[in-house]
Amino acid sequence: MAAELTAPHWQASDGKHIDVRDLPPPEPMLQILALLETVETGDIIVHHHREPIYLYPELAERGWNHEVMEDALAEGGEFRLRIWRGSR
Amino acid sequence: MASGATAFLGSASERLLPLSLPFRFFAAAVVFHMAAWVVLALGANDLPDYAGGGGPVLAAIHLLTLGVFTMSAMGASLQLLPVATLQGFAAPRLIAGIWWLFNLGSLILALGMYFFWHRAMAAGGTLAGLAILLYLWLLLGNLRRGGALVAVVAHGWLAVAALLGLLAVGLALIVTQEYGIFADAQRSAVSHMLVAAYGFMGLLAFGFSYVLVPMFALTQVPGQKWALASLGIGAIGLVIGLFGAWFGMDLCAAIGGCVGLLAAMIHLGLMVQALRERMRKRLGPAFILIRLAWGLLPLSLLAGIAWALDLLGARGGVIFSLSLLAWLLTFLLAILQRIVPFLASMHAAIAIKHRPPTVTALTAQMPLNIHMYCHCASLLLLGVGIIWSQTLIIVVAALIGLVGAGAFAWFFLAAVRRYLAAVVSA
Amino acid sequence: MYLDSKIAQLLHDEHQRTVDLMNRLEEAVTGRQTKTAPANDDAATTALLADMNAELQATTGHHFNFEEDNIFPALTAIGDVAIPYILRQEHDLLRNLSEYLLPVVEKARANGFTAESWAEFCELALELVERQISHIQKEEMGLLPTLSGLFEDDRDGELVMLYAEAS
Repeated sequence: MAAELTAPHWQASDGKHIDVRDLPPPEPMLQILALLETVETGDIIVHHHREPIYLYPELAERGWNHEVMEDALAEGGEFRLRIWRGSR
Repeated sequence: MASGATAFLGSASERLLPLSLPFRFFAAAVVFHMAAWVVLALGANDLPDYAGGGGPVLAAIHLLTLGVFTMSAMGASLQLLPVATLQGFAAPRLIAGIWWLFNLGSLILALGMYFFWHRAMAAGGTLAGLAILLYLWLLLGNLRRGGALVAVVAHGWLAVAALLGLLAVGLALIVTQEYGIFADAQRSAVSHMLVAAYGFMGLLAFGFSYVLVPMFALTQVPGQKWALASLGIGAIGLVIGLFGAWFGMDLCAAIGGCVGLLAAMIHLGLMVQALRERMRKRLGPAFILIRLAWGLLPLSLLAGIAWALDLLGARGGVIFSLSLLAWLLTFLLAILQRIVPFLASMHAAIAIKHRPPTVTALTAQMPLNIHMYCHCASLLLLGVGIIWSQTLIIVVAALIGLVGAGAFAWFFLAAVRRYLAAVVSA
Repeated sequence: MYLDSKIAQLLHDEHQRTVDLMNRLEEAVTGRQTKTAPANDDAATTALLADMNAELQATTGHHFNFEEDNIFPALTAIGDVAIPYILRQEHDLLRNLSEYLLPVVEKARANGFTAESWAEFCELALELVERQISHIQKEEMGLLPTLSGLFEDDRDGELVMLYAEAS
């Protein structure tokens, strides 16, 4: 059963955004997976404070792909990930 | 590979060396390990009654002591000493240069010993000696800074002194072959062996045990006072033993052995206590060899005492030497099989952000198991072959040792391959 | 006292607690135990899962954050860059792994293990044990002994209070 979607999320022109930076484990992964359940088409952009490497196999299992949009962690910035369903 | 992430390695205050530096020493040690067994097999006939002098036995001993022990000690100490002194080595090119010199010197020296070429021995000894002096210079620079682990640093200082001593006597022994410096070359050779094994290698083994065993077992670093007591008593024992060996005073040598035995028992007591208080329950197979080495240490001292008191018969010297080398080789290979994948995984963590390989992923356990069985079998058979003066048994022992050394090389290569594969695919 | 520095002793004590848990976890997921999932009412498993839930959140949150905010910057400032870099990377890895494992633990606490979820749990748990132990080994040898030389007594005491207040 998916978790309730409580993380900040909003619709923008490039897709649905979700910000999990302030969430303690395991909330970031749970919230991202919860958002996936609500999106049929279009991109999801994740704002994270580290690269969620264990999320990638979960995405693949669910038929989602991903690409790293921005990795500014070394400069104290955020990690941004684009997720989309199926192939492009 | 993470760009820029490796840029900080090798700087003055950086305690982690680039992986290629310690690993080239370990790679050379792995090759010399196999070579030592091959040469020993070729000298099997000479081994039981060996009483000094050139030939394959001397060559095999030095392939082991220089090519395996000293080579590994250099590679390990250059990476581990900064842990104790909290200060890195800012000389990667010099370290690489030392490696080249020492390899060349050890090889030429061993060839010279095998073929009784005194000039080659002199040349090889000089090159190896120069490499050792450069290594000592690096070590001294690091030790001078002291550090949190006082006992480890103190062991380092005395090991440096021992290394200087054995270098001087070793070079003089080469010269004495042509110019007869020593009145009794055999006694000088025994002294050289004692300083090399219990002085340099033994003190490094003791000192680094106080870092490595606590790290792998996750236990408290043993009390500095008792570690220093062991060091002090051991140093006194070594001096007394050397005095006895040098001047042919057998009782004095035996007393030195007894004092050394006391130091060894204190050290082992600290190790046993450390393991008893450990946080990590499962220690892994390497600790089988470590415990075996801990048993061989007092055994070697007892053999030395018995030899000094002429209780071991004509082959006493060879039996003592075997026990001594068995202790050091067993301990060294046990430690190497832990620190090789551990260091590789640390460097993988720098180079790879995505799930760097774990130590287990970098460890090929099957070749290590093969090595362990072959290692134990070869030492046992060597002992039997020496006592019964059976060349065939010694040859079989050497061949089994070679298989074990080959398996160890396989483990090392697998660690390197797996590390590189992980880095490339990241 | 094991270490001269109070904050080093405190972090060491926390490591001890974590290692104890890792030892228990390793015992539970190796050998014959991996073949069948434990019963839902197995007391040892229930206790282990509860402890895992608490410990993983405490370690990956408070303990890691404290080290990253207070200890690593001090080491980096004196030029020791590689060790904090590696440790920070490992923190993130362990956080990721915990994030993945915690829902599995919570689900198991609520509904017990199926054969499939037990197999997944064993695999993740072994990776967690190895990475956590390896991480603690590095900190015990490469980090904690440096702290007595790194911080003055006053600052050492401050850090202890900071750690206690944030927990």
